[in-house]
Amino acid sequence: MAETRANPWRELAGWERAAWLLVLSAAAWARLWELGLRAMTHDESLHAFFSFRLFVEGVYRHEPVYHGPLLYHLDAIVFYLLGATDFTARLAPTLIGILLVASLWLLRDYLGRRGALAAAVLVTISPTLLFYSRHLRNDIYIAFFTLMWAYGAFRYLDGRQKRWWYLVTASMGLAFITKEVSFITGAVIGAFFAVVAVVPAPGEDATTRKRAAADLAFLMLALVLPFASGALFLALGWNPVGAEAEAEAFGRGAFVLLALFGVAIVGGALRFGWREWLSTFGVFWGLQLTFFTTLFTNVRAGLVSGIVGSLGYWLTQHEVARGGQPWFYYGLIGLLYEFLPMILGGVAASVGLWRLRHAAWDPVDADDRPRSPEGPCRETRRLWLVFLIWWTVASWMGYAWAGERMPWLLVHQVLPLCLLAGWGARRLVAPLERENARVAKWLLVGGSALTVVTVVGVLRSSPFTGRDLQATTDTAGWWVRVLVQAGLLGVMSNAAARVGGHEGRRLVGLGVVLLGIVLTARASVQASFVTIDRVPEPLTYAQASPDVKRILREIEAIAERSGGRHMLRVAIDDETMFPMSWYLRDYPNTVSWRADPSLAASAAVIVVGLRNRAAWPLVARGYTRQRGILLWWPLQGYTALTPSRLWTLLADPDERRYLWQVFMYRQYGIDGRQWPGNREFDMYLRSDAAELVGISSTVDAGVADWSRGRVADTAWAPEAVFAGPFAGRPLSRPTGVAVARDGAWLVADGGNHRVVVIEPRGTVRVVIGGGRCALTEPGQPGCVDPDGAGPRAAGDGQFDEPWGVASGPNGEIVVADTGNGRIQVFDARGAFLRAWGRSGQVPPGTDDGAAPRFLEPKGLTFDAAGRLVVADAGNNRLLFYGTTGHRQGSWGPVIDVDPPLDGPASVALDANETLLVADKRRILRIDRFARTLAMWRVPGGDSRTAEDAPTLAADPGGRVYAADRESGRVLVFSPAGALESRLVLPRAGDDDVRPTGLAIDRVAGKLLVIDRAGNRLLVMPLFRPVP
Amino acid sequence: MTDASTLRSGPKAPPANLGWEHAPYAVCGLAALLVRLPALDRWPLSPVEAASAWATWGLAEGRASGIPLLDPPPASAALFGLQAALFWLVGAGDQVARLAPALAGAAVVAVAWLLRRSLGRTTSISLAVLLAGDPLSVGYSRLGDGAVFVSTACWVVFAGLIVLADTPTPRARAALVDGMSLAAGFALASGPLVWDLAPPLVVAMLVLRPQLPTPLARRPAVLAGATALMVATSGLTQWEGPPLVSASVGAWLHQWTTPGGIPPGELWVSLLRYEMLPLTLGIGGLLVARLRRWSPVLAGWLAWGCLLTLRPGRTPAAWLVIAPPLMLSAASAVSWLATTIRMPASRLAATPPYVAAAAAVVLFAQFVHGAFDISGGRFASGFRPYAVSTASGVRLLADDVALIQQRALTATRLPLDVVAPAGVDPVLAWYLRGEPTMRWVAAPSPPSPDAPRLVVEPADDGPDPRHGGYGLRRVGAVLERVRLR
Repeated sequence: MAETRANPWRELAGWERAAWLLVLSAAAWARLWELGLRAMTHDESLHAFFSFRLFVEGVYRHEPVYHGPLLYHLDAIVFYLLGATDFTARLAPTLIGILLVASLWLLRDYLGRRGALAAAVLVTISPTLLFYSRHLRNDIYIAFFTLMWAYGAFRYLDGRQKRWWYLVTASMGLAFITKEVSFITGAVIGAFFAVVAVVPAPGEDATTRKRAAADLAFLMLALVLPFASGALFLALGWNPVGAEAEAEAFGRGAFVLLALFGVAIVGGALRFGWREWLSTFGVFWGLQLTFFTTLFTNVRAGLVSGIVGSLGYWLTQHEVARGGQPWFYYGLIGLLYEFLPMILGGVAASVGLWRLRHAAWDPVDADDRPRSPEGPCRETRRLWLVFLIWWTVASWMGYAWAGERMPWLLVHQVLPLCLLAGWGARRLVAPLERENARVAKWLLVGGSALTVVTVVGVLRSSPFTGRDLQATTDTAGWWVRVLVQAGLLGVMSNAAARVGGHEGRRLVGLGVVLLGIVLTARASVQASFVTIDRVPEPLTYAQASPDVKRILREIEAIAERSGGRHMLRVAIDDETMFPMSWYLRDYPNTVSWRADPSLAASAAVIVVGLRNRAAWPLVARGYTRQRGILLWWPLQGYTALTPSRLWTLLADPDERRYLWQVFMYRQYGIDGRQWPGNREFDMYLRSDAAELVGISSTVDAGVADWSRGRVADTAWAPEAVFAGPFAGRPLSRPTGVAVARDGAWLVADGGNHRVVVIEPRGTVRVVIGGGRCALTEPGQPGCVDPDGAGPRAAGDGQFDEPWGVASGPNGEIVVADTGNGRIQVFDARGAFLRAWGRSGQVPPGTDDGAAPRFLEPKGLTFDAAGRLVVADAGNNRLLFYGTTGHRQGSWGPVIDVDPPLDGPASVALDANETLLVADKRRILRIDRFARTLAMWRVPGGDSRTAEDAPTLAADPGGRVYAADRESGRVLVFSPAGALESRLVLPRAGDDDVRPTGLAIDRVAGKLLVIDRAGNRLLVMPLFRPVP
Repeated sequence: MTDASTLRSGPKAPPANLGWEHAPYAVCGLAALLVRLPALDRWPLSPVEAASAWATWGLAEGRASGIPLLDPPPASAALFGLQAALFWLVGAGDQVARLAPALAGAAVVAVAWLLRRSLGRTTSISLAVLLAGDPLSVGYSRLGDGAVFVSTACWVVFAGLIVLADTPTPRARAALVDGMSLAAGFALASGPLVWDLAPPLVVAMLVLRPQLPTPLARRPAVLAGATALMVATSGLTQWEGPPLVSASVGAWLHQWTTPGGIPPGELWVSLLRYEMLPLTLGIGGLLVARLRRWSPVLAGWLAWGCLLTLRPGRTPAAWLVIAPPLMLSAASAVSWLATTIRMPASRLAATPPYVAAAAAVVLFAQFVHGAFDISGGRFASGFRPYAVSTASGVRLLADDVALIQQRALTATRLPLDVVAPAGVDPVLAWYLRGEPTMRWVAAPSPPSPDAPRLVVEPADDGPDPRHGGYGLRRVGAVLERVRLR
C-alpha cells in the first residue's frame, strides 16, 4: 500500500509557519516596493532597451558581451503584458528573487528546518541579493538556477530518480542561456561530483551514490562540451566572436563543432542509452538553440555567437580585466555588506569540517528534519555540507581569480555563503521557552547585543585627551560606557548562571546575530531604498544619477507644453546613448549621433556627453545649457591598498573615523558634483523650449515677484475707447469683457445689471438683462417672471451686477450673475437657455453637486476640453461644467490645488490652453491634473479682497496680461513668467484707472481692457517689447 | 452577571469562546491603524516636530545631533531615540518622523485587550472602540510628538493597576508589575506630559494600594530606570537623549509659568467638538455606573485634568490626561446601557436608556467623523496642537532650491544662505537638510555677480503662501546662455 505523503506545511510548528510566512512576505515586499524608483544603471538601460526592441520590433541578436538571451525574452514578455516602465523592466528578475527565497523551503532536508529558515532570512535581507533582485541583470536568475541545479543533483544522489535528472538538465539549460558565469558554476558543481564519484565513501548506499555522482559529472560535462568550441577557436587562433567567427564556424571550424557535438552525443548515449540521452540532450540544447537564435529568426549568427562566442568572448576578457579591481575586491565589499553571513559562514564551515571527522555525525539534528519519507540519508546530508563549503570557497576564490571583477558577481558568492551561514545558525533559531527563567533569557539576548554596541562605543571613544570641556565630556562618556558595560556583564553572568551554559551560549549568540541582522537589514534598506541612485553605493556600478530622471521630466514637460506630446526632436550622442536611449524610447524623433554634431542641429533638446562637449558649440546657437551627472561609479581608492597602507589607515584616528562614516553611514565627505567617479552631461534646451519650462537667463526660476520693481512703467495708448451709450445708457461700472466666436465683444455692464454685445466697431448687437434683480434679498426686488406659469422662473435673464462673461463653443453667451450667485446661459441672440446655482457658502468638505451654490462667482472661461470653468471666489474653488450645465469637476474642496486657492476671481487659458487662475494672492498656471506649474505672487495679497484679484488674459504668443486694479496697471508677463512691462493706461478725466476686465481679440490682435472707474472699454494694441 | 457590574463585583472568569474574542479587538486595532497611518506626511512638520526630527536626523546620519543649536531643545527623549533608530534604519522623511507615534497611538487598543477580564466583554470592547477612534488621540498620534508615547505608556500602567487587583497568582502578578515598570520607564523618557499624568497615577496607586509581590520591592524601580535609560539612549548607542528627560521637566514647568497656550475657550470648543461622546458618556458613566472603588480616583483624575486646561501654557494635549478616566467610565456606561436595555425592569423604565442609547449613537457618529476629520488632516477645522504650524509651501521652497541647484551650471552646488537672525529655524533646517552648502546667516550679504548663491529669507511683505512664509531669491547669474553669433 502506497504511503500517504504528509503535507509538510501542516507539520510545521505554529511559530515556524508564521516565521516562513513573515519571511516570504518581507522578501516579496522588499523586492517589489518602489521597484521603479532608482534610475537605471548603464547596463540595466541597455538590457531594458534591447528587450524593448525585441518587444516592439521583434529584433534581437545575441551578442556575448551582453550575456545570454533569456533576460531579453522574459522582459519582452513582461513588456507585452504590462507595458514598458522601469518597474516592469525589473519585474522578472524581481520575481525570480522572490522565488529564490521561497525555494529555500526545499532545503529543509539538507539544512534542517531551522537552518533553511535562517538561510531564508539571510537571503531575504542580504544587501547584495536584495539589490540585485531589484536590478535588471542576469545574476539573480543564475543564483536561482544554480540552486535548483544543485538541489536536483543532490536529490538525484539518493535513488537516481529521473525527475531530478531532468531538473538538473533544465536548470543547466536555463543557466547557460542566461549568463556565461554558468561555466564557473558548472566547473564548481561538476568538479565536486567528479570527486565524489572517485573518492571512496562510507555508508550502505555508497555505491549507488558514487554511481549517481558519476552520472551527474558526466551529464554536466557532456551537455556543455560543444561550448568548448570557443576555447578551441582561440587555441587555433580564430576569432570566436563576430563575422569572422561566423565565417569560420561555417567553414573549417564546422569540423570542430561537429566533432564536439558528436563526442557529446555518442559518449552520452553509450553511458545512458540513446533514448535517454537524446531526450536529455534535446532538452538542454533545445533551450540553447531556441533562445540563441531568437526563436529561429537569427539562426546562422545566433548559433555561432551562442555556441562559440559564449565561452570564447569571455575567455578573451579575462586578460582585459574590466573594472580594474584588485583581487581582494569581493572581500572588501563583502565586509561592507555581507559581514553577517561571512562571520556566520566562516564559523559554520570551521565547525562543520571539525565535526565531519566523526563518521556518525549528522549535520541535521533528528528533531530538526522534516518528516518526509523521501528525505535524503545521513551521508547525503554530510555530502551537502561538504558541497556547501566547497561551493563557497570555490566561488570566492574563483571570482577573485577571474579577470573581470564586478559587484554583481558577488551574488554568486553570497548565495552559498548564506546557505552555509543559515545552516550554522540553525541552533540559534528556536522560540524562547516561556516557562523557565524567561527574564534571564531575554536579558542574555538583549544584553549580548548591547554589549557589542557598548564595546564598539568604548573603542570609538577617545578618553583622557585633555582637560578642556570637550575632552572631559569624552572621558566621562567613556567611563559611563565602561560602567554600563561592567554592569551589563554582571547582569548577564547572573542570568547565564540561571539559564545554564549551553542555553546561555545560544542566547548570547542569538543576541549578537540579531544585532547583525539589524545592521544587515539596515545596509539593505539604505542601498535599495534610501541611498539608491543619489550616491553610488559600492554595490552598484555605472549608476545613472537622479539628474537623468530630472531632465527626463523637463523633456516631458517641454513635449507636453509644445503640443506635440512625444514628437519632440531630441538628440543624444554616443556617450549619453545609455541610459538615454531607454528613457527616450517613446520619442520617435530622437536622433543619436557619434561623429557629426550637425545631425543634432535644430533639435529642441540635445544631450551630449563629456567627450563631445568641445565639439558641440560648432553648431550650438541660441541654446540654454544645463549640466548634470549622467553616470557615476563608486570610489575606488582601495585599489592601491597594501598591508602597510592598511595598517597606517587603521592607526590614524582620523582615518578610522572616516572609515567608520563610510561603513555605517556611507558618508564620503564629497559633494555630488565633485565626486571623482562621475560622467557629466550637458543638456542644451533650445531657447523657446527652455522658456516652456521656465528656464531663461532673465527669470528667477520658480518665483516671480512683480513688487521687486525691476521693470519700468510703459505708457500704452489705446487705439479706441468705447463708453456708450449702448441701448440708451452709457456703461456704468463695467466689470468683465470677452470675445465671442464670431468676433463680437461681450461686456458685463455691472452698474446697469446687463450684458452688452457689441460689434468691434462699436454698434450694439444685443443687450441682455437690464434693471437689477436681487434674488438674494427678501421679496426678490426687481425680479420678473418672464413667462408666468411657463418653465422659466422669476429673474431668469436678469442680473444683479454680473462680472464674468464668456462665449461657448456653440456661440452661447455665459454670464456669471455674481450678485445672485448663479450662472446664466443665453444663445447668441440673447435668448435665455438655462441657469443654475444660488447664492451661498459651501462649507468645506460638503458636496453641493446636486444643488450648486456660488458665492461671488466671477471669472469664466472655457478650457481646452470645452468645459466651462467657473471661478467661485467666495467658496475658494474652481468648478467645471459641461455644455448642459452638469458639473464635471471641482478643484478646491474635492481636488486640492496646492497651494490652496484663495478667492479665485479670474480664469483664462494661455497659448498652450493651460489654465491660468488669479486669486487675491497670486497668479497660477495649473495643468489639467490640478498641478501648479508656475506661480507669480501678488504683492500685499493678504490685505486684498477677491474683488482686487487681478484679471487675466493671454495672447497667442504666450504672454500673460494681468489687470491689477489696485495699481491701475496692466502687467505683462513673458510665457516663462518674467515681468516684461507695466502698461499705464490713460486716465478718463480726473478718475483713477481701475482695470477690472481683460480679453484678447485674437482675430483683430487687440487687447480689450475694461476700466471700471472710467466706465469705458479700451481697445489696445498687444504688447510688443522694445528691441 | 453583566459587564456593568463587573467592576463593582470583582473579577470574573475569562469569557468562554476566547477565539472569537480576538475579532473585535483586531478590528479595532486595524481601525486604529487605518486612521493613524495613511498620509502621515499630508502636512509639513510643525516647528516643534521639525526641531526633534532635525536633531535626530543629524544623529542618524552620523553627524552632530544639532540639539545644542535648538532653543528650546526637544523634550522627548523617547521620540529622539526612536526617530533616530528609524531614520538610521529606513532613512529620514516626514512620514518616518511621525511613524513611531502613530504606531504607539494604535497600540493603545491593546490596553482594552489587557483589561478584558477585569472589565468584561462589552466594557472592554467599548473601550477598544473608544481608544481606537478617539479623535484628539488620533491627532496626536499623527504628529512627530512624544505625547502619545506618554499617553499609551500611562494607559498600560493604569490598566496594570486595574488588572493587578484581579490577578491572584504571584507569578502573573510579578509579570504584570514587570510590564508596568517597563511602561513607566518608557513614559518617563517620553516627554513633559508624563509629569501631568504621574500625579493621578500615583494617587491611584496610593488609594488602591495594589499588593506588590514582596521579593520585587526594588525591582520595579530598577526595571523602570533601566528602560528609561535604554529608551533615552536608543539602546546605549547615543548619549544625547538623557538630557532631554530633564528638558521635559523644564518644558512642563514652562507650561505652568509662561502664557502662550491656546485660549481656554478654544480648547474647550475643541474638546466639545471632537470628544462629546466620551465627555457625555464618561461623566454619565461616573454618575450612573458607580464604579465603587474607582469612582473617587477617576473623579479626582478628571478634576486634575480639568485643572490642567486652566494653566497658561495649555494645549489640547490636556485631553490625553483627561481621557483615561472618561474613557473607562464611558465604556462602563455603554455596558450599563446595553444591560439595561436588554433586561429592563419595566417598559417605562426602559425608555430613558433607549433615549440615551439613541443619543449615544448620534454622538458616536460625530466621534467617528471627528476621527476621520482629524485623520484627514483638516487641523484648521478645530485641532490646533501647536501655537505655530508650518505652511505646506515650505516643501515647495525645498523643491525649488533643489531644482535651481540642479539647473545651475556650476561645478558644485550653489551656496545656500538661510537668513535666520534668531538662530536655527528648525523647519528650514529639516526641509533643507539635504543641501550640503546650506549655512545660517544673520543677514544676507550684498549680491555679487561673481559669487552666485541662493538666499532664503523671511518674506518681507507677508507670508508667501507658496513658500510657507519664506522668500527664495537667487543672487548673481547662475544660468548661462550660449550664443556664438
